[in-house]
Amino acid sequence: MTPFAQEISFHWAAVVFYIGGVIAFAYALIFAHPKKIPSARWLTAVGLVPHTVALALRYVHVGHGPYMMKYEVLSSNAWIAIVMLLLFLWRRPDWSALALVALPAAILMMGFGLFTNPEARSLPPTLRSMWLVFHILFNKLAVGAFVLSLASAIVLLRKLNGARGRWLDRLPGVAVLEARTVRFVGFGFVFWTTTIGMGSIWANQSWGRYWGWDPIESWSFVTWLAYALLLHARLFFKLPARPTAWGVIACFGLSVLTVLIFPFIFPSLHSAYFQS
Amino acid sequence: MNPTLAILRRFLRRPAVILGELAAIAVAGALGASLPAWHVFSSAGFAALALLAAASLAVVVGGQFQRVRSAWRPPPSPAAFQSAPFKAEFDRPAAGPVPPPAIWSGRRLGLAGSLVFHSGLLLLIAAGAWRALFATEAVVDLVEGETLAPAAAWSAQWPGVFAGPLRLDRPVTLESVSGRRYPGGDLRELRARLSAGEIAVNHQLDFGGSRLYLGQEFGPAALLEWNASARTAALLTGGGRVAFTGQAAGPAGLMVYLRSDAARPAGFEVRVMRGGGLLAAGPLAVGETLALPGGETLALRGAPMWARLHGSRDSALWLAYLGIILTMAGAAMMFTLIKLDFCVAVTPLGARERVFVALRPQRFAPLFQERFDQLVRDQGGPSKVCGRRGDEAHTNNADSMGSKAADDSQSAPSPLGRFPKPALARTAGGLLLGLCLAFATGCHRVSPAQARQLVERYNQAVAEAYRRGDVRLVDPVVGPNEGRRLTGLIGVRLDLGLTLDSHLLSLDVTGVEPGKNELRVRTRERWSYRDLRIGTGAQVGEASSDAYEMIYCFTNLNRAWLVDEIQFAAPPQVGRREMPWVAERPAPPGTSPAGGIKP
Repeated sequence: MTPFAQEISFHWAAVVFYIGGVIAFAYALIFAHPKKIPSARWLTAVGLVPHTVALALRYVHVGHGPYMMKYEVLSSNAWIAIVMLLLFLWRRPDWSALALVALPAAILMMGFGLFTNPEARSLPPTLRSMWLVFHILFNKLAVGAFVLSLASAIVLLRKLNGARGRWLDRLPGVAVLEARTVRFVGFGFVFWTTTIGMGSIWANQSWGRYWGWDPIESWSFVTWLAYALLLHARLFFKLPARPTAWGVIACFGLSVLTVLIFPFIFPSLHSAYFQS
Repeated sequence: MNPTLAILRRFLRRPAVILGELAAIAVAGALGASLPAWHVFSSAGFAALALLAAASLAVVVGGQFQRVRSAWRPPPSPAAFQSAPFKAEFDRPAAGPVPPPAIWSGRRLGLAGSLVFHSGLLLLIAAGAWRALFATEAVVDLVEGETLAPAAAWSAQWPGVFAGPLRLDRPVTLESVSGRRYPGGDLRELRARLSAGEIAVNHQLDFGGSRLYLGQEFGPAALLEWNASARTAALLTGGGRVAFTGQAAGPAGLMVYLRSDAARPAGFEVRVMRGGGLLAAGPLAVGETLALPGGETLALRGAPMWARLHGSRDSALWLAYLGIILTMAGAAMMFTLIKLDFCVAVTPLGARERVFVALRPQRFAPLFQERFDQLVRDQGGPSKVCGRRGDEAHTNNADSMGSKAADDSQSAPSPLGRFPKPALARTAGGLLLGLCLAFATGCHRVSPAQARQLVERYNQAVAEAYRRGDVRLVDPVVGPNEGRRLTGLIGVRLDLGLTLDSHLLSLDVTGVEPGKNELRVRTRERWSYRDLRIGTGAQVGEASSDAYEMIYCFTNLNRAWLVDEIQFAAPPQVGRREMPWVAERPAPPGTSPAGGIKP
């Protein structure tokens, strides 16, 4: 079996475990079997093993971290999101309902990555920088936090709309959900700020300027501003829970557009890294 | 304070103004990123917006500094805990003398988070303004052995509004350039040795008050001498999977095209042209001279390497770095360090004592229920403060503690109104589905404008290949089938001693038919053609102006659209009397049986 076939096999094995995790979470939460929640968490955690092996094989195969191709970038983003979800659920088991949104989003991200071009690309000299490692790492952490904020916002909207169900009832109240959603956004904002900061330092090293209004830089800045706008609006005007939740969803959509769609539309120095 | 200034300060720190500034910058950013031709970021309007935002930031930072200074030292007063979101009273057995009320704060550093964050942003704006006004950037292509004098003319300079040209404090000579490639041909590392030290991609060289960077552009340079007098250096680019290619203009309309597969070649494959006619083609080694028709000559004097150097002088770079660090640190402090005020007051009640416990988080109050429960337990209170969740936590008080076990699931419907339950699911599902569809289809959909670009790119490459008699020029735009066909057609012309000078006069895309990894583009086009004799550039035979209706069949190969076949959709209308070359080719369904091939 070729290294690439091994990678793909491990990836799909991980997807199978994650789907199993979603089903187990759904069974435990919707059909009120709370004792099954730890099993669902374990099933998801077991999925991380083949996923980690697949990413490690990829690293060995291409000789660099998951920076270049959407295949590896999305897979590693999903990995980070699932790790963050499990860490959070380990500390807050009552929030297991988040898995019903965050886990499918991560699987979707991973599945989309698996259907993109998996060709191995060599790392160009500009990407051989320690700052890039931090830039990418914090970007992935930001994606993970934003996925959790999205899940939390969707669940919050369900509650606000009066939806009932055993799995929803297990969650904390609206005020806690809203505060947690904003805290997730806050962590994502911190990571996104750090992503831009690290990227600026790297750009200065590589391109001779820390900011150049490149379209992808600009869209990343616009996304950052959108989150800043949401946080300020909530702070200044005591934004109620519903518009806050919709704001979180809109900001998440913008961040997805920035990373996955705009690089295809606007010519950019970054496009070579995104369009693969 | 000056009343006008006071009014201005109040205006600048108004929430609506701050939100308006954020929104306006976001919209300007989106416009600037989407419409580069509008030059939003270099417009006066954007500068004014940045100035307004900086003024607001300065006012906010000033206010936050005062607030942090006043809130930092003194502990909160007991009265402040009357409005604390978490407070409880309980009795416990007396244990010795009654301690005085204890009020303390934790994670006070969180108070400074917003101040540090906004100060960092302010510094970044200041650094950016300094850069726009006083910094200079420049670029130059240097050949090995060439020296850049302190007052040298860089190839291009981008000085700030009040900045002078970039000058180095001493000359710099490019001594050598070395690149390493991956086995697949991609560039792995690029280094250059300068008289002032070593430089590499991502490894800048501080040079007096300036910094030098190495770009990724490099390759062999051809030092050419025309007619033993005029000298020019042609810089070849590319390398790796494709050959290094370059061109240089000579006297009297001469043009030379060069190619090399090696990074350090001993010579180049050259094609000399004038006015669309190929005069000479073949290899030219270093030291050799090529005699051209008409008595002109072209000599290759050397083939050193060249590299692109970027220079920059920005004395506020440290300010920008400080701003970046403060912004990141401030953001982290804001969301990870939440200041907590604690209060524990004990009142003696004979053999027992009454304990008042309160917790006042600076932000995210609903998330601190567990911390409060822990505080109560630490003071000997009930192990389970209450069974409720965070909704009610902030309204918690001693009287209701443990008795108001309302679950949020029983709470009243949201006052914000209701939507039908399935609406949200549909919306969220639609959002996800939309994203999936966008992902799945966005990458491969080709618009008519893009189809036109693909056709133009193909025709441009093919016309140039015919003109120069160089079939390798079509490699980036054709698939294997079309590549073989063009190799034959161009080869036949070369054997006849001819090249074809063709020009696309008009092009209309009449249809685009996408398929799975395939694309058929129908066009209507007009061309002008003339055959030129290799060596003299003289026209052979009659010029022609033709009209075609074509079908271009593109294949998506390694994520690039390549032409793998072209067909006539209708018989060609040829201007000259001679018949065009016609190949036997079965007509595809729905097209004209005529199976001609464009010249």
